[in-house]
Amino acid sequence: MNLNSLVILAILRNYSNRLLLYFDLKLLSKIKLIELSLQKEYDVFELGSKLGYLPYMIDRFIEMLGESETKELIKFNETTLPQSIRLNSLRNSFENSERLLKRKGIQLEKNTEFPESRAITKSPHPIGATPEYLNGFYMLQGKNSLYPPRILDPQEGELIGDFAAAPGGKTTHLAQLMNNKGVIIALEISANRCRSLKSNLSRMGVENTAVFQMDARNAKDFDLQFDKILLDVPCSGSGIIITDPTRKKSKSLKDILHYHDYQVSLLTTALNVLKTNGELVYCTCSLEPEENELVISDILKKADVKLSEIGVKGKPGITKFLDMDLEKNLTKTRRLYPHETNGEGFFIAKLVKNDE
Amino acid sequence: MNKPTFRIRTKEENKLIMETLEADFGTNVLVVFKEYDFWIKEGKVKEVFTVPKKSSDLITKISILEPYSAGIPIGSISSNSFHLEIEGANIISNYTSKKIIVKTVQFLYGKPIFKENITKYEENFDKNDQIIVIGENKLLYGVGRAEISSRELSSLKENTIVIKGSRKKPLDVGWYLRGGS
Repeated sequence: MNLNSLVILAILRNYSNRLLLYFDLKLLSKIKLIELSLQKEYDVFELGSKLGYLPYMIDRFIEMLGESETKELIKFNETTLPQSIRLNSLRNSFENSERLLKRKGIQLEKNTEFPESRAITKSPHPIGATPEYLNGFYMLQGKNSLYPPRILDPQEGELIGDFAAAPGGKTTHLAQLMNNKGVIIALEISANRCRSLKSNLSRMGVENTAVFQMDARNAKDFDLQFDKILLDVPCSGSGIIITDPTRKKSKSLKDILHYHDYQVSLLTTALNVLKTNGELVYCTCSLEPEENELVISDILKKADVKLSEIGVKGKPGITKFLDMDLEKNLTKTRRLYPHETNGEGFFIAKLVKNDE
Repeated sequence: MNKPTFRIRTKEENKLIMETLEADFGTNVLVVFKEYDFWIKEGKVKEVFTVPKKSSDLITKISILEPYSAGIPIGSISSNSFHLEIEGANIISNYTSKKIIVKTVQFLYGKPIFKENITKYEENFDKNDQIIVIGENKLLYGVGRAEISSRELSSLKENTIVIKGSRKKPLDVGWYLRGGS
């Protein structure tokens, strides 16, 4: 962005704050960061305040990461993530899709971890509106969101539950990993989100999925035992401030505790309908321990499950938070911080249901 | 007990779908649906889904809960006719030559295809035939009904509408951008 644009946006900021859209807020945050970087070195609380965070959030980031890394995190949240896509082998070979996109002048970079993932390094076209996108050759999907389905590792022929499925990025990825074989039962409570889920499933050529509009806490009504379950729970979203800056102010500590109760309830139900020795991947895009390690800790105390290693880079789950000492094996869970992974923030845990 | 809104097709519906597909796109396309069941979602129109047998058997077993959707929506039934839609066209496109190739993307915006937009057609068509629309890039654009027969084409003006578009129906893949579902 050149200086003139910055000046124009700064003027806009002064005169039409109430009219600013989400996109403008993101740009203004960047201006703030540039302004701040030209001035003195702020301490982390001042910086957090200047960037629009509620004070409790900075306190908690420091508790988890320390001051220096908290600064790194909140500065990183003012940048823009590289766009990335997941190529869809249900529709076209990776090679053909790549060739078609390159022919349009779209430059792609391979991801060394996942053969289906590509970063967009240059695109003369809106990447979400090409005929190739409309034909389901790829999904716009942050690279870190590929971990949960990959860790669940669904196999052809298995019965898979996806218990908070919309808008379907991970559901369609599961179907791709299963070559459209087996069955996915996808649950979504919201009618509007069911519509977007159905639309994405159709566009991506997913055949093996049945969508049910229902609260996943009623999953026992199916009278089914699932081989594997993906539980990407609704969460407060503090790991994706980089894509949703409104989260800096939109959630209170009370909201986080409310999410915790809901998440424990969802996970309890999901484990009840999981086969013995079945596997469940729990994930959130939140960095709050109450939505992550504390949920798993609650479950470990009351359900016959064990945590499994997931072999993913990132920080191990935390075992001390405020005045709480948590189970040591929570280090088997993983925290993907945006500033460390150049991706969305995620928490991921894999649970295995023990023999009864 | 309420009538289910997502149910397996009746024999009559199955016959209508298969006969329409065969008449409009040829016998070859029927093999595509061999390992699938058709399911119907009742509504303003009846949406038709193609569901793999394994999924179909499972959701039949889960009688207490009714799916929102399953498998892939391939078309709709209204006025006792079956109308192919985007994903139905996608599934059968490699098994039929009832296709026209076009040099414009305007069909993706729900707009019509004019005579001047057509690069070629693989098989003659009659008025009211369903035809799959493909771009010169070989990508699926959608499906539509012919307003005229291919035999009339040579005598008509370049701006004659050959296939009508629709912004309100899932006939072109641009539907996904228009928020369709």
